[in-house]
Amino acid sequence: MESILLIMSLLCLLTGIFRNSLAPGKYYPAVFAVVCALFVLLAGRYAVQVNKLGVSRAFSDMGAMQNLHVLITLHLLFTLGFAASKMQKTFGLERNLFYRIVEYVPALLVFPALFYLHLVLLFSFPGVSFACVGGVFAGVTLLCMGGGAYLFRAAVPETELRTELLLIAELLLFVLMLCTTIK
Amino acid sequence: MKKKTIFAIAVGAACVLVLWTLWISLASPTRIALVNFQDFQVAKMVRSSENRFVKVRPLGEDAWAQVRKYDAVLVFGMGLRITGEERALLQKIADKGVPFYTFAATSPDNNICNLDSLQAATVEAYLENGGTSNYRSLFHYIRKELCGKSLFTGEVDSVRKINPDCLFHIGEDLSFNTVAEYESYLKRQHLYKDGQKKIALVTGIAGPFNTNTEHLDSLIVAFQERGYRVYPIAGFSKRLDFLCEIEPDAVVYLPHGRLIMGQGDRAVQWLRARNIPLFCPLTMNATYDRWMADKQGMNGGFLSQSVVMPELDGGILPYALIAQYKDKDGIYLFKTIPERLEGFCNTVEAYIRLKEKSNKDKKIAVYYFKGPGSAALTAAGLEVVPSLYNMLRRLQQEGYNLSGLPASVQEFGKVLMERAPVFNSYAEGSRARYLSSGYPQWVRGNDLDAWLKKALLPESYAALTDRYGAVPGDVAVACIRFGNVAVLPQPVQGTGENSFQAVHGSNPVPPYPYIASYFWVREDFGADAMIHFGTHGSLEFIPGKQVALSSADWTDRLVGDVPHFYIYTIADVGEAMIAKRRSYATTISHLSPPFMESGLGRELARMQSMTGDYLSKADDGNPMPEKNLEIKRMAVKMGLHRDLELDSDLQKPYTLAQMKRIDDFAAELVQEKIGAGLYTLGVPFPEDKILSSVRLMAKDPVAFSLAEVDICKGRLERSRLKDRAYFAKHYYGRAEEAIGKILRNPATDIRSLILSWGVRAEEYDKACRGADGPKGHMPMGGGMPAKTDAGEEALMKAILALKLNLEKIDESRRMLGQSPETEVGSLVNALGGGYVAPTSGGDFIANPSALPTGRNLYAINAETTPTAAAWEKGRKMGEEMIADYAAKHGKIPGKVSFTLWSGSFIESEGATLAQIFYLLGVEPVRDRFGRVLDIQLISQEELGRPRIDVVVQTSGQFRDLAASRLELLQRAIAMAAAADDKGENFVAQGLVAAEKVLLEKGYSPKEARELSSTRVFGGLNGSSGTGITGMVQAGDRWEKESEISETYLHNMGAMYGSSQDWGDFKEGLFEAALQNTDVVVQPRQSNTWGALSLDHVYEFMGGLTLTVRNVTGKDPDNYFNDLRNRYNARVQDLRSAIGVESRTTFFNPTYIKEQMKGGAGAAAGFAELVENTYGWNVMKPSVIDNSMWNQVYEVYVKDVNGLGVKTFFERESPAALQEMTAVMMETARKGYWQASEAQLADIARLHAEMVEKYGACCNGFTCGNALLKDFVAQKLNPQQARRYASKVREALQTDPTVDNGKSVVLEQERRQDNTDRPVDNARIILIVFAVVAVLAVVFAGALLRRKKQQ
Repeated sequence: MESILLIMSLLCLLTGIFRNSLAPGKYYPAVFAVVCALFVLLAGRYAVQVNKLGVSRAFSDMGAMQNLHVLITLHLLFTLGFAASKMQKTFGLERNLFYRIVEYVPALLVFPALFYLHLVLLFSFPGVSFACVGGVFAGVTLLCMGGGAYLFRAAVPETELRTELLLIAELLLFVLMLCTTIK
Repeated sequence: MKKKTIFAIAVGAACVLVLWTLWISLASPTRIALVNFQDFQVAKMVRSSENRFVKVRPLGEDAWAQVRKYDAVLVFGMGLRITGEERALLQKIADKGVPFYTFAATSPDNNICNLDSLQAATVEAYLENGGTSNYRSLFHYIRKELCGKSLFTGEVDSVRKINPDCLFHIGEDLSFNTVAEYESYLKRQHLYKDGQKKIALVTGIAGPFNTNTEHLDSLIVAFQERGYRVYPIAGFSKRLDFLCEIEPDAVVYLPHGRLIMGQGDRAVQWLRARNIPLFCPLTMNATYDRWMADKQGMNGGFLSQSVVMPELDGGILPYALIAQYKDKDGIYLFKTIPERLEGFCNTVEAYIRLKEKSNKDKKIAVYYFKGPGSAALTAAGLEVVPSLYNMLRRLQQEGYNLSGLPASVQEFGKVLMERAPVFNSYAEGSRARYLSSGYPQWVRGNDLDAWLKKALLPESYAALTDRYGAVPGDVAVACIRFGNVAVLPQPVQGTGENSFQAVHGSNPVPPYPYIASYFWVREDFGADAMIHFGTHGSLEFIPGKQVALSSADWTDRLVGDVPHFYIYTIADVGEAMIAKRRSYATTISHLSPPFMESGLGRELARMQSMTGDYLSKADDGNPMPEKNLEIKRMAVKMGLHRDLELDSDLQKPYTLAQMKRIDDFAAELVQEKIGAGLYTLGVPFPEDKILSSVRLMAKDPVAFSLAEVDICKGRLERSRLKDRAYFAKHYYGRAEEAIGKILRNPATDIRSLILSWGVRAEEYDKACRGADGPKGHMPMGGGMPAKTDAGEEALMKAILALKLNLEKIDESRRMLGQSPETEVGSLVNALGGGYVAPTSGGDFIANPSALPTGRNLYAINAETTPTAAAWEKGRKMGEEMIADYAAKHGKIPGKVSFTLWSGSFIESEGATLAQIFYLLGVEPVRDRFGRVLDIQLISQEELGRPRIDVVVQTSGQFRDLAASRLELLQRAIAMAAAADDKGENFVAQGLVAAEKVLLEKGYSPKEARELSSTRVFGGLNGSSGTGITGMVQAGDRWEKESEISETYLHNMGAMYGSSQDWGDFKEGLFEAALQNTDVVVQPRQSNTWGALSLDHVYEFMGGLTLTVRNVTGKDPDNYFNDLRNRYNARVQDLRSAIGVESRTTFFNPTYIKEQMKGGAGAAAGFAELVENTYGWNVMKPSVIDNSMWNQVYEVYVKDVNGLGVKTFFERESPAALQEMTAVMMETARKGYWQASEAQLADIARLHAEMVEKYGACCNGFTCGNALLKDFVAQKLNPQQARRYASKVREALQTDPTVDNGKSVVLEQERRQDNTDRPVDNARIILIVFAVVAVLAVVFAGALLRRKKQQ
């Protein structure tokens, strides 16, 4: 289960990067990356108070996993909306207010994923100062979320292709989530 | 108009300004800050200021910034701890002109003052004299003269001189410079009556007028109301003069430290001459609520000064009496604790009454200890029944009413076993027969309930009834009355519960029979005094505060106000302190058993001669294989190779190093000191045993001081001291010869003797002159002529030490001979309300100054440990242990676990503590009083190795005696872990490993980080034992050793490294701390016990070893810190220690013969040896092999030595032989011993025979273990098996004809299955629906798009 959760978290980050690369404007990805890094730094004090058994218990609770599944499903719906919005924009179609707003909604699943990854790092590096773990992770987050998004934009300039990749990653995430709830 | 208005406003404003200025400068309240004054001083000062225009406020150390808001500042300089910044702030305030005065500054840096000399002298005079009027005048003086506020200022009286050394009474002005003045005052007040008993109440050295006096007043009143004439004494310098003049009947001592500080034992001499008790009640340096909530009661320096130092004067009754209470103004006042004042006064009164009451009318309760069933009475080192009988006989001679005391000791023994037994919970049949026998003393349920309601706090009563229900009707108390003396077995504390794991957070409550026994003694029997006979019972180990017990502590409530005396062995000073502090006992020390050498001479002498010869001739070039193999054959035949873990291949010679080990081991076996039978109270050792004991007492001191002379003279390399064989040959021989000479002729000329050892006459004379000089009373002290170089001074010291050691020989003999009489005499004197002089402890070989016995034991000041000498020993042992481990494993250990015991701590002054510090790479920092309050890192370069991680498990006794040392250890661990070392630091690595485990165990990273450095553990709920001995012995209750390990981890997993989380338990933390442990170390300081003879060794060292093995998967190495020889501390590995002990005692015919001269106690000693061997077998199977059990079988079942073992056991204690055979069978049943069928049949037959002939003794293994019973029965023929089963049933069942198949089984823990929660179908439907919806949307979108494109 832990491995699946780790994969899911990394996938969340990946979808976050994809989605950040599709975000409107020049500075949006940078701003979002800074927000993510700040989140990592600020959430550190709470992360150090979470214990492994608590996490395991939470994820072994079928009800909690099913709730999470609902969330991911909703997230996927938003992502579909986001993709539709991007497509409409790309093809110059008229977008209604919902689609225009959806374009600005960031990949919110990145935050729980970052928190979980932070926990994994804390559990994996006993003896290393919490500030150091948090700092390095925040730096890596900044680089990945910001740098990754710009790099992805540069590497795959076609919006449709990036959108397609985003959807594939989201669907994969969704399938993984389904697996976790199958007993 | 406008101008007028403006003018009026201006004038008005000017008036207000002027008035305001006048107010501020002349009339406004003066705020005076009191900085660093103690609460009790503050209370008096604040209350003295009755002027509303003077505001006196105390400031804590954390309120420096507020000082600037005050108009004047008074600082109490003594003990002021401020940083440079804080000092600068205070100086700045003083520089600004705020009147500032520092009183009693102990550091010149802190002596901040801006008053002129006259002002300073005036302020100082007021403060020095103290008292309400002086303080009041002081504050008025500050307001008027220093702050210049002349309005609303009271009178400034001149300083009222108060003599600090005075007598005083209730009221401010009542101080008296002489006893006559004081007594005439009492007469005027009609408080003086002729013939009144007198109590001297010694109070704080600062005088009573510097503090609030409510507590003193209430104490004075309480004693006066009881008809005593009370003499409250203030001051320090005239204390003894006053006492001599008063001639009191008792002294109540309230201050810290010794009665006459700085004058050695003057107080002891006076108390001895006056023969009166010195009571030392305790004043809490905390509020009542904080003290009640405190699990420790008292700790650190305060404990040392309040408890340890008065004990050096023979002080007794450390009874918590005074605490701080906050008044309505927030001021802390000392007051006597209401519910304790009466108890204290009653106890003092009871002691004084012992002097008045005639012996024939005194009622005495004597508790003895015995195991359940037919087990013999037990007490460390004592043959209990004759000892108890001797004591009672002596009391009878002293006029005590002991009518009905049997005429012979044999009869007395029978009466004890028949009329006052103790039962295991499962021996229902025996218990039922006893209850209907008419012997027990019945305590009526209603009476008991009434006593409990009166004596217990409501919450304690509720805890008792919650635990066991309401008082269960009438309760039987096992007791025998001989006139006015009641003899009682201490009831068992266990309640027959099945679980060995303690429940965290629930302090054990003694069961009703236990409570009923003590309350019956107090309330119904009306005991004038209570005696606990021998070392030791369970009363003082009932968990609670370590010292300064409250009324919520069971021990405090059970002892009540009855004077309590404890007959205690000198060899166990650590546990004696618990008895003194936790049960208010006056200990009366008794001798440990006599000693003799092992007597293994003949065969080993041959071996030694061969190895000596071989080692002197052989070298690498000339290995002399034939000679080598001859020695090897002999060693293998004797089984020495097993103890030394050497090979037994008779074709392959030993190396030179291995041969040296054999040589040393043989020397050790020959030199080993063993007990020569048990001691009987009041009976001097036989002359030959006195001589052998004195020889052993003197041998090491003489031999080592002689060696020291040779070292100083360059005739011996210090490193050769480790060479046991060499040392034995060259020094023990000479020492024994000299000792023998002196013992034969005490007038032997010591000078000639020493000169015959190569000391020049002028050297000897010079050493003696030095000793007679100004510091001559210190045998190892300065006293030497000033102009000597270091080498010469060392030689003089060595010669002097040699002389003194030789001179002590005859004195030791005399004192050994006298001690039995002084012990009984001292008890009689104590029962007559007399004084029991203090003494240090330890067996008389390790500490000859513990003689003569019959004195009240004291410990050491934990704050001064490890002492300088202990540091050297600890360092040496640390190095030896590391080197030995490295030689075996090719690397140094990464983590070492220690067990800390109080006895070795006291006697070695913290040598093991020092070893731990040294392994961690930290060293103690001493203050100018020699206290170790801090530690510092040893640099990595100096250390020359990585810092080694440690885990410490503390016994309850050590924890209760030296809590501050545990906190220091915890700090040392944190310091070592944080050391900025290059390369490896095992302490830091240990923290990471522990953190990792803690994370896995479900602790958050923050908790895991914080807890990972926790390394000090001990018993749960403040208990003293591990709780695993019962489990180990109940072999049918466990299958895998991991069950024992789990119990151990649980029961010993409480944290004791900091006062914040003192005694807290965190699941899995102990296990995390034990990760990667390589070595387990146990200190050993006494010659009276070893790994096999004391169950606590396998309990603690063995338990920890087993647990480490289960945690790490690797059997750790085990070492003893052998501190028995104070001249040569060393480490000894467990296997070899067990080898030495088993050869010199267990299987040694000389030892067995000596023990067989004793009675049931000696027989029980054999049984304990077998039980402990089994214990070790469970804890560390590798140290007990088949051959050892085979030897037990040969010696004790087959009696190969022809000593008449069976006859001895049948005569003295068949129960012991039953127990031994049962243990042997159990060992075989559990597969630890691969015994042959013939062996098992023999043992089973012997066991069944004992059961048939004498009944099942039911004292541990014999009745409670159903599987063992079956196993024994299987090895018997059917008829024997039936008879055996029937006899056991008889003991177990109330109706033995019915076999109801009952047996005690361990209650299974019911684990709740984690049944799967049902899947939430609604959620699944929702998810499926969502998926379908998403796909539908995507599909529809795609269709739409395609349509549009088309």
